[in-house]
Order: sequence, then C-alpha cells, then structure tokens
Amino acid sequence: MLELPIRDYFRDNVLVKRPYIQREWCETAVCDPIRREVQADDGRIRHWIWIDALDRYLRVVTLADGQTIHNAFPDRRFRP
Amino acid sequence: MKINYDAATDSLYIHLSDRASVDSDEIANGVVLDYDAAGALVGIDIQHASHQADLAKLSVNCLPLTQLDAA
Repeated sequence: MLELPIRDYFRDNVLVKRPYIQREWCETAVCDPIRREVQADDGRIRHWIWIDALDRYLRVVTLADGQTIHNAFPDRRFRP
Repeated sequence: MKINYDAATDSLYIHLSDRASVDSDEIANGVVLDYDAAGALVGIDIQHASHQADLAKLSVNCLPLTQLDAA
C-alpha cells in the first residue's frame, strides 16, 4: 500500500504515545472506511474502520485534503 | 512532563509521562486521554487547543523540577 502523508503531530505525539495503533490500520481507514464525515468546524475528515485487534472502531482524522493523517484513536462511542 | 504544540494544526499534546498508552478515550469533542496498562493517565491530546486553553501563558507553581527545556 502506498504510504499516505502524515502530520508531524501524528508522528511525534500520536504514534509515540499510542504505539498499539498500526499505521497500516490508519491507511486502510482512509482508503476504505466504513464511514467518512467532514468535521464542520475545520473541514478535517473523520474516517472509521473496525479493528479486530482492538475490538473497537478506530477513528482516523485527516486534514481537509482527505489524505494527510493527523490523528487516530479508538472511538468507543461510534455507531455505524 | 512534556508539552508539545503544533501551531499548524492547533494541536496540543501533554505527555504526563514517558510511558506509552494501551488505551485511549475521547472524553469531549477533540480531547482524548491516553492510559497505560495500569489504567494510569499518561497523556492528553487536545485539538483546537487555542480555543480550549490559554496558550499565551504558562504558570508553574512548586513543581520539583530538576530540568527545564525550551524548544
């Protein structure tokens, strides 16, 4: 899979602090989400994917370009 | 403790310790807490930080600091 661009914040904070999140999951979420929503306040885009290993949905947030990964975390409240 | 701010995305991460998390929970829109294996809070991720915190001022009282680094 082609590596998507990432923000420095994602590399230096999110991935460092949440090493249980695999970058491959994030790329799959962006490329093939079960749902995608634009955040009204900033135009960033949320992507969700189910991750068996987490037994949860993962939310991946990209910048408004829909490609550059900015954040990712398990989303306990998401209902597809 | 380490505080990182990304001005380009207005994102603030407060590393309360160097320990990695094993679980995370969004407690409010744009605020995610990270927990280690013992359930201890190890980090706070704040989006749109300038709207949620006063970033122009940092006041520290009585912390037992042995080192202070500024980037």
